[in-house]
Amino acid sequence: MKNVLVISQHSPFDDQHIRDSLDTTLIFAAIEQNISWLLSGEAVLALKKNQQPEQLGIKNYFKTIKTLELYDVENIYVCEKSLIDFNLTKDKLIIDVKVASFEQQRHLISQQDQVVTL
Amino acid sequence: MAKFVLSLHTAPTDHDTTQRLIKFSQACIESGHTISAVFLYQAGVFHASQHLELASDELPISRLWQGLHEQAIPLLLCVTAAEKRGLDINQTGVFTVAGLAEFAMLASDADKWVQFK
Repeated sequence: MKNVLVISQHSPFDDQHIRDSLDTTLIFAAIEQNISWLLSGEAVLALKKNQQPEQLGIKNYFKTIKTLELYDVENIYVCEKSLIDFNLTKDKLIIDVKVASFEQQRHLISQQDQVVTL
Repeated sequence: MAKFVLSLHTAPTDHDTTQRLIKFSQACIESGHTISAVFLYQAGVFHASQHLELASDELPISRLWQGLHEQAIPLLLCVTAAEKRGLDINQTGVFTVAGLAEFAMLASDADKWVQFK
């Protein structure tokens, strides 16, 4: 089993970056690897509650983010500084996450076999 | 000796990234390492288009891929990313249509996954 980390740094509707990150995270979970997902910068906005992209004709893929828990993906990390930048707190997010300081992010990355940005 | 998987995330217009992937691949093989897959993902899937028309003094992208193909490096194409971008998945040249899961299994088996973007 490999430790694989997906890092996202794009905003939720910037091309398909977050959807690709989500797909990759779910697939590595499905093939039973130790997958983690770190959202940093504008990517933290993908986890914000009460978003209605349907009103803009955009698919609501946030529902799929909630399925991470069903697939036992527990290692979802968000950058502590990024939450502050966007005036967000854990209770304003659609899923339970681990809030990571820069030091904790450095440690997380150092534990991985594969690190990818999408 | 190490086992690599490589992924390409940018379109054929990004000559620098394309060159880096090709040269990295050649250096891997020359050093005795193995590459279990090169995977076209995100905008990288456009490399599998059979409609690239490049002037003779441009970077010969098709020929570079042909070179990797002749060295028996598996060249894979993400089917979902390709379909989303309007590629004809029945005409992909030296690239083999694959799923993200197939690549994820190869990546899990590799020593290192290197991204080019």
